Amino acid sequence: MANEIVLFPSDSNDMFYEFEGGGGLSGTGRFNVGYSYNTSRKLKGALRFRSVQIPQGSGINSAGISMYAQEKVGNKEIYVKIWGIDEDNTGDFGSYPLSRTKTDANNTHNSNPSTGQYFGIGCGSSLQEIVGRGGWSQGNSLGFIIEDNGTSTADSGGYIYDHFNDAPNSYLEYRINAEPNFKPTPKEVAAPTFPSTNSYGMKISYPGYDVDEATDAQTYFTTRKRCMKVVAQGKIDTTGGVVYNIAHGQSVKPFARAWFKSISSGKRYQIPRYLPGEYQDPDADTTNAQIEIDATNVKIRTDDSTEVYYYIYIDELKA
Amino acid sequence: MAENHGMKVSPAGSDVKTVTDIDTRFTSKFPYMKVYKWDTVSFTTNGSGNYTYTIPHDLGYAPAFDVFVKGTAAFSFLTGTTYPNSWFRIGGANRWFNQDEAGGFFAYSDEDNLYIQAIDGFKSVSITAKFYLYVDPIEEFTSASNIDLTGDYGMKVSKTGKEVRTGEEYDMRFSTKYKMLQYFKESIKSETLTLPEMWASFVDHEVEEATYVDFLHGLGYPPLFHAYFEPSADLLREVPYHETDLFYAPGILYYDDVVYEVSAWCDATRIRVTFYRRSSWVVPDDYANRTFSSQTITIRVVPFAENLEGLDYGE
Repeated sequence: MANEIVLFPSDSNDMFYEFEGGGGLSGTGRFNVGYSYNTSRKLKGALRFRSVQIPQGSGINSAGISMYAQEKVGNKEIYVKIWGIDEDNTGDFGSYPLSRTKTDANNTHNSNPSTGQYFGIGCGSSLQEIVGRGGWSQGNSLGFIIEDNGTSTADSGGYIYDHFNDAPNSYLEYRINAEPNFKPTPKEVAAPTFPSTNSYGMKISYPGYDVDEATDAQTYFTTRKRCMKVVAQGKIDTTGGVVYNIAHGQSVKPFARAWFKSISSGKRYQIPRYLPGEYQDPDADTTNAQIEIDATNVKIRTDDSTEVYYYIYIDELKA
Repeated sequence: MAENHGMKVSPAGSDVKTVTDIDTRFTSKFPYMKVYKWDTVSFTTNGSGNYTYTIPHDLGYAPAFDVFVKGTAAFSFLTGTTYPNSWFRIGGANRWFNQDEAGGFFAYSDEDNLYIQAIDGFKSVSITAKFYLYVDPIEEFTSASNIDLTGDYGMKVSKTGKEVRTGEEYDMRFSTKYKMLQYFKESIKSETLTLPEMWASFVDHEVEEATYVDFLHGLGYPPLFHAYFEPSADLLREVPYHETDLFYAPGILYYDDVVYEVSAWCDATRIRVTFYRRSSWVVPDDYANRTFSSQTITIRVVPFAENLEGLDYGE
């Protein structure tokens, strides 16, 4: 959501990984989490974010870390648990991060992302605990430790890795004191002033109504108002998914209308037509159809190959 | 093709000999859409929300039509105010009429009937609709129509090459036998609407944004209308417009909660056009969804002077 703040690690020392059991398989510039079924080792990692612009004590509406699977190894789910690093301004991971004090708040999640996908885990309560510390200041750095949640086994393992030098990277996303949805202020356009009634011109009243006294609502036609004049009409055969252009030959974008033939029943539906979700129309076809107008063409697109009948009018859609 | 014969009416103050085609109030040079029959109909949907109302005609071909459905406009996301006696054009989902998008209304015609159909939507509810049936066909047709050619008074203008006394009604450019849907040039208005950049995320799984513009039409009754929007310069799309992303996600057969919609309704005061977008993050499988860029669209409305609650055919 645009009301959210997104932060990425800004240095290789902001990412850390470790294969459980040591053996030199740890360091900065990379983030891992999950379970390696080849080595029967759990993987853990840490992420750090700098210059976090959250005032001390702010209420966190929601927060999460989206972990990026630059590569997903194994085809099983990943089970993870996340804590915040319970420090006022945690240092970079040039010094070992995984032994730092963890927040009381934590969260667990499991997912099975594919290579190139993100998967997320909520961390709002951990973040709240960090920024609620008396020593926290806006602009400080904070971090998270993410480990296997302890349930992975060789039969269930899989892990991801994410290198700092191969963006995109995993990121922290949070929202404070803001609505998640947008509702820009509505607008209003004033009513027009209509032309006065005339005692000249042409007027056709409904049958049975005195044309001298007939109101607008009782007239078939009056030259006080305008009508859409048909400048072209005809049938076209569309190809499904392909925009059919009908040159309108006018210097303005004209008013146009069209109807299409159902491919199952032959009945005629007005364009535009949009079927809601997976629902089908009464004929059990799923044709959506759109009409657009640009400076040159009336453009008609139907999902299925079918017949369309159109009218193009000479009256422009100017304001 | 220029024609120097026939009839032409210019607006007050304009020379009828030089007035442009666009500004001409009437000219026998062009055909007009002719309303053959119009009426207000009511029906009650069954327990599943289905019903088909059939309106027979004797044209012998599928005619053009307009159908509007009456209801109470409500969209709690934007306002707690509801608007009874509002009218909605059939054709796509409308956030103010059918917020869950489930089912809807359809209208279609063939050589015998116009059909108004409710499907999978409002269950056991009384529905009021207004239809307009035109003489003008929406399929190729050159045969004799069943429509009665009676009425040897008034005025009619046939298309070039057609015999005005014996020609088919659909070959008439104009006939005082039929009603015309008219509008005031002054009623055509435009305004912009902007929605900011927005995306769903793991933090906010489902987010919505919406705003609207009220075009006060000043007519004092709910008018038949068309609305368009420009998603980019020099491109007009007719409203209702509705995009739904439909995709497969594990454990969820179809997921379609990403929506881009421009819809409209009217009542006796306004034509309200709403710009709505919704994005979702599919959990538990963490499938990221669409990011909507900040976008400004231009709305254009064409309110006709036709009263959707006005006199019906033959009244």
